[in-house]
Amino acid sequence: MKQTTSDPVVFLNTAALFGSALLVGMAFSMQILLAELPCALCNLQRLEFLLFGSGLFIVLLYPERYGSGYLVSGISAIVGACTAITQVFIHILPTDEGGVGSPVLGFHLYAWCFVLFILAIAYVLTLQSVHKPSVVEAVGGTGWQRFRRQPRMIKTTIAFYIFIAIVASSSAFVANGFGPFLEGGQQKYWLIEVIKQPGTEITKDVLMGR
Amino acid sequence: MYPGFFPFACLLLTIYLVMRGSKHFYAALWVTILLTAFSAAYYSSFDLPLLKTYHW
Repeated sequence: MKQTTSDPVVFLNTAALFGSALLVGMAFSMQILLAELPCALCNLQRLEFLLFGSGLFIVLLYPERYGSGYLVSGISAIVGACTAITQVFIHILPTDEGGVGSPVLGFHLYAWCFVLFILAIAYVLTLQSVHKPSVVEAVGGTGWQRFRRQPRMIKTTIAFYIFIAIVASSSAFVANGFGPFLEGGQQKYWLIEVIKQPGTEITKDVLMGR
Repeated sequence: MYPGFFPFACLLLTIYLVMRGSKHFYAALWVTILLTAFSAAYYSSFDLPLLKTYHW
């Protein structure tokens, strides 16, 4: 039996993979449109959404290994929830001037992330309990051969996920290069400054616009 | 100094190994998860002195 999106489990996993990639894509769009560079914890939350997606990506391509795919997604969602709640606690104090970044529907992105990571944990726990081995088919071949055999909807979603993973990783590299991520309020991209000022050491103060 | 880009690079390597069908993709995936968890701890502890001044 070939894997199809008419199977609710496959459809839900495809939708969740698309959702995780879309969230990171939206965060990247906000970074470009509002010229707000992500802080260290924001970057980590993007990575954790991509890791959550990577578990579902494995479930879709290697359905016979669904248990470990859900495990990876679950652990990533737990680490993501911990990171998001850390950032919420950092900005919860009354003296904090309105948090960091632009709020969306009244919540900052890290608060939304916490809610979404909790939903992701609930999703993984539910799906791994209803995912029956009988609905999966052990198919051979490399990931690329398996990818080509998938229905168009799954292929498009996986291609979109890989594209967003490359964009987010490139963004992290362009913003901070080989240095650590910085706190909120970063003004300049490391790679652009390196190109603009060749031979000059790009310090944290330069990136923070001080 | 800990390069923030490391876990992202590991994630890209994992995706490449998954697509290639390599048996080692789980190893790359677990390294990515461990690096992510380490990064979360690193940046949170890095932030603690700033917490005292109520600033991130």
